[in-house]
Amino acid sequence: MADTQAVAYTVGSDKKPAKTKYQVRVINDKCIGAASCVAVAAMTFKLNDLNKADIVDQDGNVDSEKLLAAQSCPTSAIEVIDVETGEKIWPK
Amino acid sequence: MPQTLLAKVTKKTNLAGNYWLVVLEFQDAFDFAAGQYVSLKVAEDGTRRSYSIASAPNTKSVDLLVDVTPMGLGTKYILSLKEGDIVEAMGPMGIFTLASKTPKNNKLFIATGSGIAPMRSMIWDLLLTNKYQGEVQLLWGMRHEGDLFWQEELMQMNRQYANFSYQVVLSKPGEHWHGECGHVGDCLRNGFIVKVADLSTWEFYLCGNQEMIMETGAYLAGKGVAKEDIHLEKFF
Repeated sequence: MADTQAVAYTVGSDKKPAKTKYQVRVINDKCIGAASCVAVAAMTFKLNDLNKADIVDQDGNVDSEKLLAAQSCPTSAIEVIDVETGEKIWPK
Repeated sequence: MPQTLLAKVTKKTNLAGNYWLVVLEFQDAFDFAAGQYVSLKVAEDGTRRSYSIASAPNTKSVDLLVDVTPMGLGTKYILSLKEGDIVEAMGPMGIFTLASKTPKNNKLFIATGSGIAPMRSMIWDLLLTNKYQGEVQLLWGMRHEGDLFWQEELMQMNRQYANFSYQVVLSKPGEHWHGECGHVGDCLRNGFIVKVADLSTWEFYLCGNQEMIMETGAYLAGKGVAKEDIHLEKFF
């Protein structure tokens, strides 16, 4: 299939970044434990005993991975705020 | 770890009612575990929606089952797709997969609506790929006869595999429906559980609407089924 090429990046790097500017927040009532955030940004999110996402380290992943984790959440249970500007980045 | 890949829509067809099948083909075999899902980019702003994979692993193509009832952003995107279109899929993702730590011999899959998708993947993986010999049962709740699909396939599986059986239950059947009526919970209480003396040899997979998951999970727990033997995937 010539017209479908792999996009040249893999999400979920293992390297802990320096200070990030995006802050994430999990809206507990919305979280259904789908774990897509954990798959995308495993250094930032983990599932707790109630199968809800917890934040383990705000600086665990780079901003792009944290945003992708939020965008991947099937219930839009993750908010992303730019702490430098105060702007809500996600959900729009 | 999920990857972001492009895939081609090779088939899109209405199965019944609001249920659509979308087949995506990747450049190479897509490595996932039965029960997992992919996240499709459905808008330029990065919005994604998740769709369970309904086919068995180890192929270049994956079947996605989509219930378009919500008519939200994801639904409209899916309905706009044409065969030959390219989509951006991230995956595989999800932890709703066949138990590997302490698997039980017998497996009961309980689905409502499009919750059948990951179960079809797991059941095919068990029966076809792994030649599984334990008992495999499927209990599938839908609303109307007009919603039903994959019935011929299920009948064929039932004929082909002596260890596989299934039951469809309709909550709002028409007058000509002669099968089970009610909810999957009714079926469970009235049929399955009373026939099984030892639930400790079974594990349970629940996928579908949240109410069913909560009620059925609580019911099974009340019957003494261990938490680790109840696997859940809530749809919303």
